[in-house]
Amino acid sequence: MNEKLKRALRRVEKPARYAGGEFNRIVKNKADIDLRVALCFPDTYEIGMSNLGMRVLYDAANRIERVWCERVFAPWGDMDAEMRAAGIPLFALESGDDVRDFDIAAFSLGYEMAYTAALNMLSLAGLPLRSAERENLTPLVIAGGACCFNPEPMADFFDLFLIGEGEELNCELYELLRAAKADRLTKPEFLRRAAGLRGVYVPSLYGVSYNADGTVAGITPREGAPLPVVKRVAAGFVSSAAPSGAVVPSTEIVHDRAAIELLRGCIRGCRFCQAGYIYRPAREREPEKLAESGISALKASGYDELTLLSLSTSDHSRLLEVCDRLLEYCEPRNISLSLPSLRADNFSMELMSRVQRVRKSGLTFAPEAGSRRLRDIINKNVTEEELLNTCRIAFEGGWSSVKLYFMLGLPGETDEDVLAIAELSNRVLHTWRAHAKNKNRGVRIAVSTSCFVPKPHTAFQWSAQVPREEYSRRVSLLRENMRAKSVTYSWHDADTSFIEAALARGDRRLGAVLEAAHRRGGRLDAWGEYFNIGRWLASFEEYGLDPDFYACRERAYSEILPWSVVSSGVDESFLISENEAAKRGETTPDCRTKCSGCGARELCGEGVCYEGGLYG
Amino acid sequence: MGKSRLLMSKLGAAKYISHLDFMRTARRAFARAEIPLRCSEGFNPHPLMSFALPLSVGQESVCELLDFETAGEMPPDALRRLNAALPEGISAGELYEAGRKPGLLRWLEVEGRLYYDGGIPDGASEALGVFFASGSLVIRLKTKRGEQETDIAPRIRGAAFTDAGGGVIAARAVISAQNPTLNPDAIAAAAGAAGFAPDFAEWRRAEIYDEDMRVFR
Repeated sequence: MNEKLKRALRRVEKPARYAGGEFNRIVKNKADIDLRVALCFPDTYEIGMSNLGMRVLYDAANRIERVWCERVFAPWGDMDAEMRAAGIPLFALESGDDVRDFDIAAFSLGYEMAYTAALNMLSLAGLPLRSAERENLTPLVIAGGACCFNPEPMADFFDLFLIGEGEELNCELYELLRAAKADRLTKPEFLRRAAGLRGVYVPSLYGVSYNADGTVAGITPREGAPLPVVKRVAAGFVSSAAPSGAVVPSTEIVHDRAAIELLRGCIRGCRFCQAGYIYRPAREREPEKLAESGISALKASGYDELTLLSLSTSDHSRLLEVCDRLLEYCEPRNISLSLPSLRADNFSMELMSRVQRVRKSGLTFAPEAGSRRLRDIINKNVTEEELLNTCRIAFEGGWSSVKLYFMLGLPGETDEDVLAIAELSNRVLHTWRAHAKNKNRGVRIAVSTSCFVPKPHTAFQWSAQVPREEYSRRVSLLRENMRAKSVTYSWHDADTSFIEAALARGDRRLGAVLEAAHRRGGRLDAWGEYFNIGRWLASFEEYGLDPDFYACRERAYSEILPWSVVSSGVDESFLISENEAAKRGETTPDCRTKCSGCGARELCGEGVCYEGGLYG
Repeated sequence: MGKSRLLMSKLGAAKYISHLDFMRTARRAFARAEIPLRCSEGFNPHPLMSFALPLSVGQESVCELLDFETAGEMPPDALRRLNAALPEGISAGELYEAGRKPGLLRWLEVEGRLYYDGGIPDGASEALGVFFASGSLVIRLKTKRGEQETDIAPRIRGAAFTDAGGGVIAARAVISAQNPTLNPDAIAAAAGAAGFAPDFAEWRRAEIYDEDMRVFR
């Protein structure tokens, strides 16, 4: 570690975040390496180290001989200032080497509000922000992750985007770059070659024209680039082992536990949920593989908690078997099992008895909307009876705290729907009064609402976000009607959701806005202490753009959507039929009950598409 | 099984691990080494282990004592297994049955490097030696009651300063380990009070002693 860094680390908060040296980190001999990858996460160490995608891709890349993949995270504000003052460029944790000397800087974009952090990392690395200004082949600056399903706002900055699952695609790209280095290709030559790889989007190979009203007039691919770029699905998920050798942080992170991915995709088809659409088709890992991976993850890490991750954990068809296999190992060792993302309609006594075996954590459910009517609109098919029944089971089982997540501003929401959240919370409280095992401890019901952000590739991708003032009015309405003392209500900030909505469905012209927001000091906008709405509004204004145009405008089906350059494998006609069904308040059955023919089945030869429903 | 004691080092990158995180790291290392620890009873069981003297973030040590109790027999190759399970910079040197209580630990020997970016001021090492031997070292020290003028001389048993070249003065001091404790950073602060404030200082715990200056294990 050099002297400058040592001095900086004496002055910053939580210096262990920048020191590296963690257990299980992968260090290779530079002499044996011909491709160096910097896996960059545009948020702090605590967030990035908790990210499952980072763990999966780090593992996949380092399995390749002669490739060394290292981790890079965004520094907190104090460290950012120290690095700039001392002239310490952004470095990778394993080797301490400068990111600008790597062959690839690969960013994970999972949250729109992290865009400025990604730009700031490029700036800290001493690299020009714009792809066009980086003439050399390396470092190639690329991005993947959920946000890349609308790559356009960040199109100016990245040389290419990897669309979909990265286990195979990332590695194919590394091989291609290694060959290009050997062949001494120029960057444009390499990019043309890369565009031929399924799932790769090279923005510089597409022209975008606009109508006078600001909507997209056309997207024109050049030099044989595909339109649309169809996302990749990693083959063989069902029978694969989950990566189990994750780096064990030496300082506390947000999700400080071993994690294995139970399911990929989701059978439910909630109409607002981008993950539910873009990770189709739904696939579940075999219980034997999960138990094996879970136990080896615990052995390799020494964690005392294992979490079973997925978009909807209780939808694994053999979850009890998975839990039992794992508990056999965990229980005698005081290791607890945690199951986030449980659904209120299939949480059972049997399941509860398994998650509370060692330590009892809180229970969280996401009814998303207060009324049946609105839940039908969004296709969140959980009934009030099911939710209350689940709460009864939990309260009888000794739980005394429940968290309930809702969204405000969903399409078709009325004041009655808002008030229904308060009523539902009260009914949960009544259920506790009627069924609690131990009333002396009291009950805590935490209700929180976020502002609905319409996302690309969902049934609601054409919908308008409610204006900020309207969201705030609904928050006040709900607050005034949340009277019970044991029910606490918290809500997300409307300003952040507004900018998130504008970026989520933005076009290429937002590149200039993002650059301006960074220039104005945007660093870690995902954090309340760094977010500043004024900076964003000024940046939009500087380029004559209106965030309302992106966030709060209802789009016509005929409009060319900026993100139509990318396909999730789900047909647009299916999304339209879902949006229309929402307007009629009709629900769509889950993929296991009946295949709704969304189109994603064509992407992959396994998973729920082949287990039942229409094709069964 | 009675209490066991581990003599550990914490060097390099590991010096940035805070005390609480060091506990967490040690706990996980025991789990990886498959040496089950005795746990507390109750709602949220946690392994029974403690460090003798919490170490400040940014300081190295070659003499950290960790007391713990195993749930079963201590495996004969426990030390090897633990070392294989510890992250970079942390190692376990000796494993033995815990004898005297850590409360009897009295003195701490520290090694420091005081950096002078503009070169060592003329005669600084000698002047510091004289200053530290003067019997009164009043500096502002953070205490429970806020920052206070404190004479730290009683907490320093001896201090020596030598030119190490390259703008660095090497310091070696024996200071009070606990009741009251003294953070070696106070030595750099006192050097400042003598008119020789370093631009940067780093410290390493070198040895621990009892009241009679016998090495404590």
